[in-house]
Amino acid sequence: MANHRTPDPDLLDRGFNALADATRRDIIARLSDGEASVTDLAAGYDMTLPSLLQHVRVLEAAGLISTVKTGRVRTCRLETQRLAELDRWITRYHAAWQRRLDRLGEILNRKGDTQ
Amino acid sequence: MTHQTMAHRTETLERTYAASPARVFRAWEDPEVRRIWGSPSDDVEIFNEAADFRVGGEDVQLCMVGGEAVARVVGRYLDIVPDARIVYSESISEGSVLLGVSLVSAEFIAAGGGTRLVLTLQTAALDGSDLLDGVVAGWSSALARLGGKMVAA
Repeated sequence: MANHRTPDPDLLDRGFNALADATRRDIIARLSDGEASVTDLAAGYDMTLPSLLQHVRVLEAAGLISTVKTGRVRTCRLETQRLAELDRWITRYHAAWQRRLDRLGEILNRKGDTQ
Repeated sequence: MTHQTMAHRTETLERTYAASPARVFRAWEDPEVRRIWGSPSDDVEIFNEAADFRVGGEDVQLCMVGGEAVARVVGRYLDIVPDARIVYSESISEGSVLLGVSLVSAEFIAAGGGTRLVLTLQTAALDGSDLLDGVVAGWSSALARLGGKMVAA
């Protein structure tokens, strides 16, 4: 099993940069209560929607939140990146088993007999 | 910071082999044969550190890539029915970090002169690292907690 735990340095930089701003930290705090649309988020701040969207973009680029657009509504939520990473680990582990079983088949075929 | 994230999945894999259940079973029983097919690819060589194929027995395999151990796999046999079934737990570690644990159930079913192998994997991926490499991923939850405190204050 290869090492998949090393963080991407660029992502780290973007992450720390994203968190260097009080508004962005506050957005994360609000999303910890559950997902929210950009419009909902904007209602809590004294800034224009485009300005808020800028902050959302920075957080998204850092992998801290993800956004999904449905119709005219863009919904933001905290990115459960770790969970996705663990899920990918299981996928790789199970894929390794697929290959193991194929190799087992090769060995059994090589021996030829069916006894 | 320590994270307590987990992910779970159950998956069943099936193969049909042109070999009797007894032969397929022996390929699992024999550590030397298992060492060969147990490698997921030609790049990975498996070294058997310990092999004890009996209920309660423990297998320890090192996955070697280019002469370096990249993972340690410990199997503990829970149930063995000759030529029919093997149930064991397999835990995979990297250094001191436990990455995941799987309950592996292998059933060997006679089918048309060959064997249908039904392999069920019940896998839990663990987040046992408290090192820096977990920080990126742990941001969400840690910041959420921190943020919650800031909002509450």
